[in-house]
Amino acid sequence: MYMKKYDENNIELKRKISLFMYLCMFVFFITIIAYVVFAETYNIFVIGGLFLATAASFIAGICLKVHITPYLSEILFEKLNTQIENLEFAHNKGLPEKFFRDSGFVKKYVSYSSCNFATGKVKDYDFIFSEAVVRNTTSTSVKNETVVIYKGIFGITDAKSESNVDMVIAPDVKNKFLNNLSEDMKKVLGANKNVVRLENMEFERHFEVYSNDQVEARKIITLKFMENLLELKKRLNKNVTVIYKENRIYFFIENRFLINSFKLYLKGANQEMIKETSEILDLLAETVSSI
Amino acid sequence: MGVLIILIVVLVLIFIFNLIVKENNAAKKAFATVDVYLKKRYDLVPNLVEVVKGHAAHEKEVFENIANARTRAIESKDEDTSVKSDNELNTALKSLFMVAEQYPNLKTNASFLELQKKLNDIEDELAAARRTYNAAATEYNTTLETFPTNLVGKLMRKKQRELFVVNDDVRNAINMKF
Repeated sequence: MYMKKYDENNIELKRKISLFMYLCMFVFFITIIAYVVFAETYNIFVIGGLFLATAASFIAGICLKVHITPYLSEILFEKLNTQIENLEFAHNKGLPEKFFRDSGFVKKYVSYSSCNFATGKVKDYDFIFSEAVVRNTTSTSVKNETVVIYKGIFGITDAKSESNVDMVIAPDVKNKFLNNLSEDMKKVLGANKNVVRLENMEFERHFEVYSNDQVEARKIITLKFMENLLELKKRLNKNVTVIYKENRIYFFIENRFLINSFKLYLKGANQEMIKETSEILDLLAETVSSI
Repeated sequence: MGVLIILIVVLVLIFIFNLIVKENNAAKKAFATVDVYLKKRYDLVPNLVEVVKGHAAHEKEVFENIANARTRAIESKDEDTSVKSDNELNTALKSLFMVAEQYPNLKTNASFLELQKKLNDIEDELAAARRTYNAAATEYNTTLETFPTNLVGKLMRKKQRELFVVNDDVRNAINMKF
């Protein structure tokens, strides 16, 4: 753990106070509206006071929220019930940028940030998952602006056996995804698109597989792996991409995070959150271990 | 105008002809890969038999069946015969492993375990190679069945390829668990 030691009851109290502050902010704001609409005369001190109260509630709420969010994540992870061994979590730690660059998922970007680092082991597979946000600059006719080109889960694990194959399992949203790949991964697609046709028709509907070695690709993509990847995509309802490169496997789940921070903030580390996060992690671990 | 239409038809025919040839060659290449792994497996079989003979020399019928099946598999000339012979060898190997199960000393023999592991590795590679062949053969067969490529296929007298479809004996065949 990388955080100061926390008192769970204290954190839970702060969470409730933060929510209460937001509620107060909302009430003060409605009061201002009602006062402006219905009052026959306006008292500047009343309006000023209400504005100050609204602002103070908002600032108090947000400060408390920012303060407790990392602790809430840590509390949640300590309570998880998963099949993963040696599960460790650190809110303020992420996967190093080197891994993202090595994956070849994105050819060009200007900034990378990562947090919510979760590591563990399942069926002799060590894996790491974290959340990543990647930005790049785009040029418009007026100015350059920085936009988010990827945000979501980013995970890695080492391959079970040595193989020279490079492979990309892409969600079936061809153009957007393929254009962003790095040059060496684009070579995997090949001039004639080295598509690997597989037996699972449903898998074929949701994913397209490219590889520079058809036989090696099929050694890696077993029927079990296809089922698990499909299950992962359906459960999360997000685009899942897998890159196999230099004996390392990279997972990308766009617009999805290990922890639903907003829900965690609203409900705390309750049974529902514990169950939801445990299931997601188990599903990720199951997919990783079926390769 | 008539010349233009004829030219277009000829170009389309050439395209379809080349497509059929290309896909047939892809399927042949895929089968060649299967063949490589099958040969690797055939080379492993005599070593396996020798190790088992060292502990169960009296099981002559089993060893003879394996030797015959292996010979037929090696000598098979075409793809369909190769598939059939390979299935027979699988059944014979199944009997060999059932014999090995009855001898505890054999199950812990280092050579036997090493050969068993090699055989497992080859089986994994063979499975992937068969899937690759099936994919290539399916694409080829689909080209031969769909219109208008089926017309050109018939003119070229091309036949559909058999897929690797293992029977129940092979599914239950080589019992690797001891």
